[in-house]
Amino acid sequence: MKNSRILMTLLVVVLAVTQFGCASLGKPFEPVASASSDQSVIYIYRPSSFVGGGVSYTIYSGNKAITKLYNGGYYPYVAKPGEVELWAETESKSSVTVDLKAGETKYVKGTVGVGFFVGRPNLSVVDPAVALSEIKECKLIPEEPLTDAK
Amino acid sequence: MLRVMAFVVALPLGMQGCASTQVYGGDGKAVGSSIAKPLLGKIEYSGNPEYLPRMLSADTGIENKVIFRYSYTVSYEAPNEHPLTVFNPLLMLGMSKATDTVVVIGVLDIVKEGTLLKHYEKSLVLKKDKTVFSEGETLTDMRRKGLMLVRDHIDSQLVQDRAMLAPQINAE
Repeated sequence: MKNSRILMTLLVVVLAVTQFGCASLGKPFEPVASASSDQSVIYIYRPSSFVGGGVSYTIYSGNKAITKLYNGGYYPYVAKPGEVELWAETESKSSVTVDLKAGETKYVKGTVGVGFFVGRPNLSVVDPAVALSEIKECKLIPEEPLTDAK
Repeated sequence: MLRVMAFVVALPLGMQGCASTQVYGGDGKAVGSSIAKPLLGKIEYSGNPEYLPRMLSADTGIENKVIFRYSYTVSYEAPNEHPLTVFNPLLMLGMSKATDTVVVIGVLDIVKEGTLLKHYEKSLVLKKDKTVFSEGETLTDMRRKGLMLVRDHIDSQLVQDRAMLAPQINAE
């Protein structure tokens, strides 16, 4: 009896830890149709992975929070052409800058790397051919209220 | 016991230096902060003005027959960490968990009346190892460093070639 209670508690803890950071994601990947010709789109995505799967982090452009990047999710960020820096931070900061031309589409991939206490974000620009094969497995991250960086 | 502890503490501290960015292909003399007598012409470049070689100056006063066409490309290689990396005990001794690479290429064409006068190209590779103790510079920082270095190297070549270029650019 005592053992089964311990096992139950353990199961609840494991479930709580592994499900932490999960969100209800939307539809599978489909390209944005609404971006105008003088704008560009950055698809920010994160392939589903068991390692670090419970860690999620907010993606910022400048001080503006864009989306919270969940395991297996993607978010289309419509931006003005020019230099766009995307960054995220847990116990360390990861940042990548892309050069956008009008009407252009870029892909930024987020993963989680090894950290001391919590997984660390890793952002990188990915070749479209590679990105398209990975992003098709991802689901749309719904809009949610986020706090901008200070 | 104390020696072992000292070793365990000192090694990761020593390994932190491994997370610094290494630049390959940056040999040669780069120009410092001051640029004298820039070359005048029409500039075709749509990027951040900070990355444009400072030897190039826009000449809006006269009809431009000389065009400076500058462009750059930046490519990233930031491979995923292996899923089993987390179980590697050597990480705690400062072993690298992944390497980020940024390749920066700058190209300058000097064109006069449709004829290419001179072509300049400089490429640099920046590499950085990441450890659990230090992630080192971000890809944004590495990109910026690379673009500034490429700019300085092309400036350096323009300074060297100025005596040869100026008469060709100014000739009617």
